Amino acid sequence: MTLLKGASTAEANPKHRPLGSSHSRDFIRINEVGKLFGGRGPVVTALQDINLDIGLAEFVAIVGPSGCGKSTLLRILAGLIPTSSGTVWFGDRKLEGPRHDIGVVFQSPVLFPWRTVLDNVLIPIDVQKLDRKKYLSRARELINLVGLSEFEQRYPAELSGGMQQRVGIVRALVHDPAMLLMDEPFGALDAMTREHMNVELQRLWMAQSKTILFITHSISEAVFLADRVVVMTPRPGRIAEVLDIDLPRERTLDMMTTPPFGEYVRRIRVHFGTAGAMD
Amino acid sequence: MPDLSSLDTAKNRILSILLLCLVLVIWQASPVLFKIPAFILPSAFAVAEGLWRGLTNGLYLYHGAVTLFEVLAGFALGGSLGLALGVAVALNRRFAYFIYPYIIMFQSMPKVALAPLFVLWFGLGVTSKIVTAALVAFFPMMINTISGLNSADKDRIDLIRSLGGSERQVFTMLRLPSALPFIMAGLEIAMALSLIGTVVTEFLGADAGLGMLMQSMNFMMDVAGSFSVLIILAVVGLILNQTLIMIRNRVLFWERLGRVDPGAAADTTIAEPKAPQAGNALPASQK
Repeated sequence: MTLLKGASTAEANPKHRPLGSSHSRDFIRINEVGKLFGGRGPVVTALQDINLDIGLAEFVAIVGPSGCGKSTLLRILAGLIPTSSGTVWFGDRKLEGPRHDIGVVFQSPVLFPWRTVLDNVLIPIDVQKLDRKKYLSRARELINLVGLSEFEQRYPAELSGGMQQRVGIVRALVHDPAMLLMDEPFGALDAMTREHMNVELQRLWMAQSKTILFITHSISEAVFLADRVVVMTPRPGRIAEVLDIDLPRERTLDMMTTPPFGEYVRRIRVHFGTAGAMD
Repeated sequence: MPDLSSLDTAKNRILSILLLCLVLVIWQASPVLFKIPAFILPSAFAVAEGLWRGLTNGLYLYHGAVTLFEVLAGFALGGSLGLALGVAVALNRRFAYFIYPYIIMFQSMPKVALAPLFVLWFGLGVTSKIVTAALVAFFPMMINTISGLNSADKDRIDLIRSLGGSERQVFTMLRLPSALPFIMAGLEIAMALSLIGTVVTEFLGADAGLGMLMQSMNFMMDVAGSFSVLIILAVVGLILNQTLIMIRNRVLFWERLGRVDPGAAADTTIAEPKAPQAGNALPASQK
């Protein structure tokens, strides 16, 4: 199965598969990262003292209310904006801009309406000037994996919101990146579709052995998906707690009603008070 | 225009033709009914006669060809310059800074007011018309190109950048196609203005063209002839506009797409957990 081969993930060692909490957490090291915004106006501290190590093939979710800097952190990791202080290490290399081995999934599907589903999935291949022919079968397999084979030659406008977001996700995987950065990818979907997408994402992740950093403001989504949940609080954006989620894989939607699941959710919710700080 | 396609039934078509007949009958009868002299409002029949005469003796064909050439040449010249300058302004902030004051100054000026000067400078031939048409076509094209190129979605830009794409790739893969709806709209405005600019300049002084023809008919009190030239101008405008709409529908094919029948494949379909072999058939759930 070609999908499981991590071509660019040279270090994709099967020993590092995400089981329990026995990761070697040195794939990505976020070291004392801070971010300030505001040139002329008052300076806003978006991020302060962020320290976080992420292991290879680990699924980490960041949960927090709006304005806690979680999206800023993701944009830093994507190389889209620089840090104000601190460093991010990918392996033994400093992060200094966009990397070719990262896939980003945004809150909206961010498809190009003039490209077919297949051509949208191949955008990373075109941007990075890789050989289209070599990646064509991989793109088709990924599209098949999310059940969109018969829509390959369709255009985004012909798809539902959930289908569009699935295209956005497999596009982030097509160039076989080592890491996926996902910025509230299911935030715009209805609750039913969202749950299905969570199940699908877990399957994709288990089949692809990618490192995933997943940003959400849904606590239950974070607990359902992640090996570890990073809780962030706003003003200034900082990490309040990092929680290991010791629930067995493959997780099912039924597990969301079990006491251990509820206990994790409750523990995270403590950070946001009862006044409904989460929106 | 509102979508009227649901009203397009056989019955309504007949009614629509009857309405046209009624309008023509009232027009034909109005000199008698309302005592309007023929040199103010000629009868429909007289206009039709003038139209027929002008078409059969080749007069309208010749002057129409001259006008059409001026319109298209001015449109092509002004349109391409507007496109080029729009791209330059959108891509180069420094260039934009220095050129913007002039754009805004010219923007607020009625461009056709320059037509008398152009006739003075370039004479009665086609050049003065082409220059006027180009000038009025230039601005909407440039403005629309600038706003189109700046309309690219921020997340889409971030997507290309996050993949290590260059600004050049952002331009070719994203900004340019994002600008196409604006550019096509700009072309439609530019075409309409080119026709106006050309005809107005022909009024002011020309040795050929439909505007000049209409002007000379007016001087000879041939009002029926003037009306028939007006009809030719309307038809020319309609053909030019419809041609552009056809091109736009081709170019912007994605704007006319709708959701496919959701019954074709349920949105809630969950893919099989294992990836099928390459070249394998669809998962059973989707057959």
